[in-house]
Amino acid sequence: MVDTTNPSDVAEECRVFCRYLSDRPPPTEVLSAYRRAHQCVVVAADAAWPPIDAALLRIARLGPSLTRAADAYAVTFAKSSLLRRKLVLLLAILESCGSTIGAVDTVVPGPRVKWAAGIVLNVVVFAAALCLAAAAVVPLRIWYRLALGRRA
Amino acid sequence: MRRIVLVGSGASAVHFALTALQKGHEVLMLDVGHERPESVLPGATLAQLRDRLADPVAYFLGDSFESVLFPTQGTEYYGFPPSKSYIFTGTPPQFRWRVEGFAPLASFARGGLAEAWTAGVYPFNDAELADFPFTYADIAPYYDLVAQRIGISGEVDDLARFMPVHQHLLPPLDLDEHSSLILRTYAERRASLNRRLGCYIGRSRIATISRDREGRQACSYLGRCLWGCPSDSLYTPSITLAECRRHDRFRYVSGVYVRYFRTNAHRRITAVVVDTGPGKASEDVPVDTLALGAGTLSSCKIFLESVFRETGQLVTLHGLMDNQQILMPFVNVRMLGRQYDPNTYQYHQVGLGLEGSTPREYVHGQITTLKTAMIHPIVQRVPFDLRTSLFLFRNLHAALGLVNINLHDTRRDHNTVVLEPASGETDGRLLVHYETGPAEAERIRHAMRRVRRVLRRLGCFVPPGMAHVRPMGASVHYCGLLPMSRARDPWTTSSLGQSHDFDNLFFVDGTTFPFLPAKNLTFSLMANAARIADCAF
Repeated sequence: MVDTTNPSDVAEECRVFCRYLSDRPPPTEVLSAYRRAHQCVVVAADAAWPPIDAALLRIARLGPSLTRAADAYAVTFAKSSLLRRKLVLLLAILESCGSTIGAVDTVVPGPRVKWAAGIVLNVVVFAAALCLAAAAVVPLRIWYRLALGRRA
Repeated sequence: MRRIVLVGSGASAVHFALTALQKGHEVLMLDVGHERPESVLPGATLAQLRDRLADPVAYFLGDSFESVLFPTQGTEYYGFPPSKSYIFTGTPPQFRWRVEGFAPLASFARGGLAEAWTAGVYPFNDAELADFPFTYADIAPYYDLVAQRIGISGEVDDLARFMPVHQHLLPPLDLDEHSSLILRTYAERRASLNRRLGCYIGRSRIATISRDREGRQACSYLGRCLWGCPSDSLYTPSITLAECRRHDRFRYVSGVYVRYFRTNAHRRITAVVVDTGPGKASEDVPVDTLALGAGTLSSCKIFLESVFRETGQLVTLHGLMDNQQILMPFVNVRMLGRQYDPNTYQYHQVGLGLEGSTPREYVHGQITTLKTAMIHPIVQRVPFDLRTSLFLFRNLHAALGLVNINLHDTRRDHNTVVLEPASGETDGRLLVHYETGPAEAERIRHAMRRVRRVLRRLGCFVPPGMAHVRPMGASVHYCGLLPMSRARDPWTTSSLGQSHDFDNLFFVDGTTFPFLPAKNLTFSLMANAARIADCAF
């Protein structure tokens, strides 16, 4: 779990997520806004979040590809998870800054066919990422449930 | 000359006040009146704001990131930007409510709820005024008067069959590319849309000026409408309030919350009791004539609290109305892959009217094309990971639009407000109860089906699962609780908004509307308030 009181943990997370969303490292203003947001309760990771959220977040922080896998799982099975909140927050920050809006909100250049092919490719990658994430997370989920059941 | 105490500073109140002042009366306006913050970098475009502001993130998302719409926060497509937060914050502690089946909003801002409106101007026609104790001819001069005051741009086109044409119409604003394409497609397929679907499309009439007038600058297409027009091109009631303040006989007192009124043995109001701030004792303000223009729910709360304190009676007011709204996003195939132009007018520029089986069953849709609105609330709804969703969205952005479908409402007995009294000096709590009619689900489905068919004819498709039926109360078009009536029944008013229960009390807001067409009522609120001020005194 990211220690929200530790700026370097948050910064590292921001770097990974920013690469995932925009293919580039975060500029200073994005980094500082992301850090500031972690002072607010909306994305503060604490004991209130279910363990599965912590697991998703750990996977996502390992690198942009795994962020995609964890996000694919989250959007399908855990829409309001902590990971999803953090990614939506970062997207909101990216679209608020002049230096980064272009990376998330400009037309993909080229003919429509290229864009359509890109969509097909992206959806295939999404499906693969979802399978991969599900294979990793579902057993964890079952294990957590069993552990909780045993404790109860 | 009358000495009028007026509560509130919203759309109704300011036009009532200005007309009363122009007729030589004296007006004391009492208001909580949270002020709009100064506009930042007034001449800058939205893109320039992102580049030039020291902290653009705080401007767009708020100091505490309160304007980020997270996945758990309902299904709205827009969040209120921080620059408009003053409109919905700072509720006085004495104003409390409990709601059932209704999600209301109240504003204690200077200018009221219309500080956040999208400037749509829709005069009611004779069929829609059938339940009112006056006709279109009676209110028409006041539509003209208000149109002259606020500045309305638009065109006389196919929508005129649903919206009577008033005077003082300014030329329409420049269209964005997507809106322009929709109108061109309509022109090509007009006959079949009219005949087969009973659908008529035209330019929205909007209270945003296309020419400089009376110290206000014409819309300069900065793309900042959603964050608050920095040049007052888009009309808000605070513009008329500023005009009222230039009159000698006008006094504006802000920072006061009107709790209730006192009456004498002849059921005449003698004073209003106001709170002037935390820790301060309530004060009495003497009243000769009282006009309530605080907005339907606030005005009714003052009324119910007063009746309870004076008589011990807990009155139930029936007939609360609000427009049911449905948000229907669409994709215009011919706009795919184009880059949107952010330097355009951001609110709806095109309107869609669907004929009903009777003229009162009219359905109205505002078509807003997506330009500078925040994208994260939309992108997160695409059922893929955010990277895939962003890839998809980037070429879709300029092709996206939203139809805001409005349905009419009627006064029904089970939609009520009543006071839940508190002990001691504390004011009671308003219980707002709303139940949709038994045929509501079918009415919504029917309207959605019709709009989907219209969109298909226009070359657009509606992504499955994306339409959103907003909760009742979300449109903030509340009215109908103390209706105008030809009969002198209790808990009703005369055609001039004069209470049948207290002679020197006038309701100048939506409280008295006996019917709510499928239209934003703000323009009619202003015209009706001007009519009352002109005819009642």
